[in-house]
Amino acid sequence: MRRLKQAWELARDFREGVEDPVEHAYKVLEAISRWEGVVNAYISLESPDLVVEEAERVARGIRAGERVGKLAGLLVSVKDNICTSFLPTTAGSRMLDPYIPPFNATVVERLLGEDAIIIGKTNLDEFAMGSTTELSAFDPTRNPWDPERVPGGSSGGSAASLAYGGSDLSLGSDTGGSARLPAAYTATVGLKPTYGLVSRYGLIPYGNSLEQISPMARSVRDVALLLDVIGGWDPLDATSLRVDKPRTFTASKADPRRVTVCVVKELAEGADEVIERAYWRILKRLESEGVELREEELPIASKALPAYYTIAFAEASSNLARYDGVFYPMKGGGSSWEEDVELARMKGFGREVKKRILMGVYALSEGYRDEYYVAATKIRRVLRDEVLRITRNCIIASQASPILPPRLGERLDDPLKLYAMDVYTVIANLAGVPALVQPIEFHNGLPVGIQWMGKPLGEEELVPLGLLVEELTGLAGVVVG
Amino acid sequence: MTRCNYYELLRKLASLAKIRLSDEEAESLCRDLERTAEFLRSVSDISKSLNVEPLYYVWDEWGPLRNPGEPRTINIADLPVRTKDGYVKVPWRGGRVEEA
Repeated sequence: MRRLKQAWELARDFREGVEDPVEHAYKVLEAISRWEGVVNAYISLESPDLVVEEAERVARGIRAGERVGKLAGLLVSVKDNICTSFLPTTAGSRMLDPYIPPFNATVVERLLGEDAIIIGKTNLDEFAMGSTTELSAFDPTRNPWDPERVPGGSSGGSAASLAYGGSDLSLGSDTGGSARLPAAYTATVGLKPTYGLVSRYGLIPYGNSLEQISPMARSVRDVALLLDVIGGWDPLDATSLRVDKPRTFTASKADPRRVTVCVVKELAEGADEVIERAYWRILKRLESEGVELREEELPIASKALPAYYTIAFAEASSNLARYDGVFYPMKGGGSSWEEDVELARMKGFGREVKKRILMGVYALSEGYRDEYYVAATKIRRVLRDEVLRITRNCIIASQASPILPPRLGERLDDPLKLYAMDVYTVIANLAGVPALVQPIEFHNGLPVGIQWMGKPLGEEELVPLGLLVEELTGLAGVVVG
Repeated sequence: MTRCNYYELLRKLASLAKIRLSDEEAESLCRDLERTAEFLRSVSDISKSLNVEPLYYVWDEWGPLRNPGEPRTINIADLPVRTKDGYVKVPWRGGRVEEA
């Protein structure tokens, strides 16, 4: 394990002339060429010449005393379900290979507006449907900390690129834990923002009512930097909240005597023993620093996983109806329109995507709708209200994952085993609240993370707590090697 | 080969979803469907005892995040990119913005 400078420190040093963006770009490109053959974090990479040219442009601007953006010279990777007009956007699916959108997602425009250099598009489970990044049409991504294991998913490519030093910052997306589970498995930090804080315009949709584009990085301060850039109202997204841009980057570490953490029984139990021990160790450490620990209960949490999957499947079946072999790259080649559509969807979708679409159609069908979809949305209401009640007075401490990163293939033969990996993370998506996952320790060389959940728009409280925890663990900026 | 109980249902769903399945794929998906449907059905029993309305949008009528009376629409006046004729450019439809 080694430590890299945090991205915000690098950006500051570029501006002050202490570090050279071009030299840095070469270092990151070297890490990519060393690790990509094993890890497969990227689906597409920007040409190295272009990356260096962009870094030179930034360096020239700084030398000339021009005003540069907050991310000037930083290399940012972007999950491949976020639209870019200058690199293909496949969502990890043959259906969209090779789709080049005619526009950039709002978050991409905001990155470019702050002079970030987008280095490539990262691997994911097809259409973000998975928890391991094994279900990509472009081969699995491996965990840099142990290449026999998965990096979590579906934003596994983003997390892996950070974990080996192949990017400075990354954008993932999180529908049920897709940014946070990979963070827990790779010793990186992932923040699922409050629903509506970050624009979804240009995010290829899977479960609209649940998902948010999510900043990922190697430290809490870096995640805050990225959130401040991408967050805030966007007229192009009808679910975007009319709130001011977040201001989390300048937050100070929390004063432990002013923090109350709620230990919710249902979110503290059920994980493997090593994970539970790590969870209690950090909580006791925080308590010894002055943090107040309070017990809470959330009995409806036992139904969160089936409620989440019912809603996600239903939304997926609707969202993926657009892939009909006409507007997007995969063509059916049938003898009639009907056959053309069926063949395109047969060839273009992978097995897990087909299964989720079929389950979604089932959950929405006449005769089954009340039993599945409507029932799940009622559970969602109760759960949301309970989470809002608890987070009004404290930050919830939860496990991030019930297990250490599993080996490749270990969870694929049983769908319920795969879904169970999300048991702690889906709560924040159902309730719409922000949630941060950060590393707390290593066990036999594998990272263990913890999850903090706050009140709506409570990112400004999660970041200071994350900074406090980071100071105690000393795990900011770690990479393999 | 023994067909699973959901085989006919699976064929119907595949037809509705316009996805053609090979026999082998249908067999394996059918088993998954059976297990997953059973798992998801657990929401049904508990929801019968819940006297609440469904929640489709997480900030529906709740709290400080939105004004309940506010229409849930994109306001055309807020869309920034226009063609030279003043039409709204809808980027997801492609096309290009002509120089004003």
